[in-house]
Amino acid sequence: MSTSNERMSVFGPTLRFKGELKAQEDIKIEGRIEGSIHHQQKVVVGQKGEVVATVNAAQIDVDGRVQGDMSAKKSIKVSQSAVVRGNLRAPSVSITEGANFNGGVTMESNAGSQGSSTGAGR
Amino acid sequence: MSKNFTENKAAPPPAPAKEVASGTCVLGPTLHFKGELYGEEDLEFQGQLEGSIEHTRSLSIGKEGGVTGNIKAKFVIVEGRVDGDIYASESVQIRQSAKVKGNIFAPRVGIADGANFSGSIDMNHKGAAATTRPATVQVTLSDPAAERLLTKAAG
Repeated sequence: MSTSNERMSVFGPTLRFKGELKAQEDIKIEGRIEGSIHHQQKVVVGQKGEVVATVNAAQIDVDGRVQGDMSAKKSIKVSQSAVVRGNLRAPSVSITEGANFNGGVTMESNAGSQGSSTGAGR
Repeated sequence: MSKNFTENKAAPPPAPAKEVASGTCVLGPTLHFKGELYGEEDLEFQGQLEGSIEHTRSLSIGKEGGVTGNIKAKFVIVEGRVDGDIYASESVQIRQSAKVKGNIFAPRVGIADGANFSGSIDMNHKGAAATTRPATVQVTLSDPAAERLLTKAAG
């Protein structure tokens, strides 16, 4: 699942979006998004990516900057190059040493997120 | 009068007709955007967008793409659905599979046979053409020659 790179949309580095984004396919964000992201699959915030938004997804990998709350059905990974300010909520959260993170972490299934909960964490 | 001609700074080098496809960013069919999208790289849009797109390079709305709102870019290629106005500083191409409802403002417009288009086309729109129009001579009132004529007429 984590290596399903075949169909990944890339939101390029010069793209800027303000508003609401919904998607059902893996997406890598290298640009800037302000607003909210509602996602059914995996979201990768690339090293050049900048997200000022609340993010909901199945899985979130952060290599770039995120300001806002994130909640994932499966997992959130904050890598070394990431700068995150916000609260994380997922059954599994990992933060790599070296990452810049300010916020709270809640490790449980995200009841407050999207519908169709898989009942993970029970 | 010669002053006007010297004002044409060297025309920008003709843009390569086909910009590198490898750098094109593709936004997939399940993406739904609601809001404003800005970009400075070639973009192929297969998703759905409600709102506006402002782009400085080439933008193509793919077969599965749909846009409800206005589009501004340098080159626009439409293969999908657009409900809204399209402004391009260079050209707009409406492909066969396209469905477009709205007005087009661009110096060059192509509509393929089989395309579904309803709206009007303006090839002389200032906003669209201003950056690319080659050497249109403008006489401004601050031009010394014009001013001399005016003051002479007034005097």
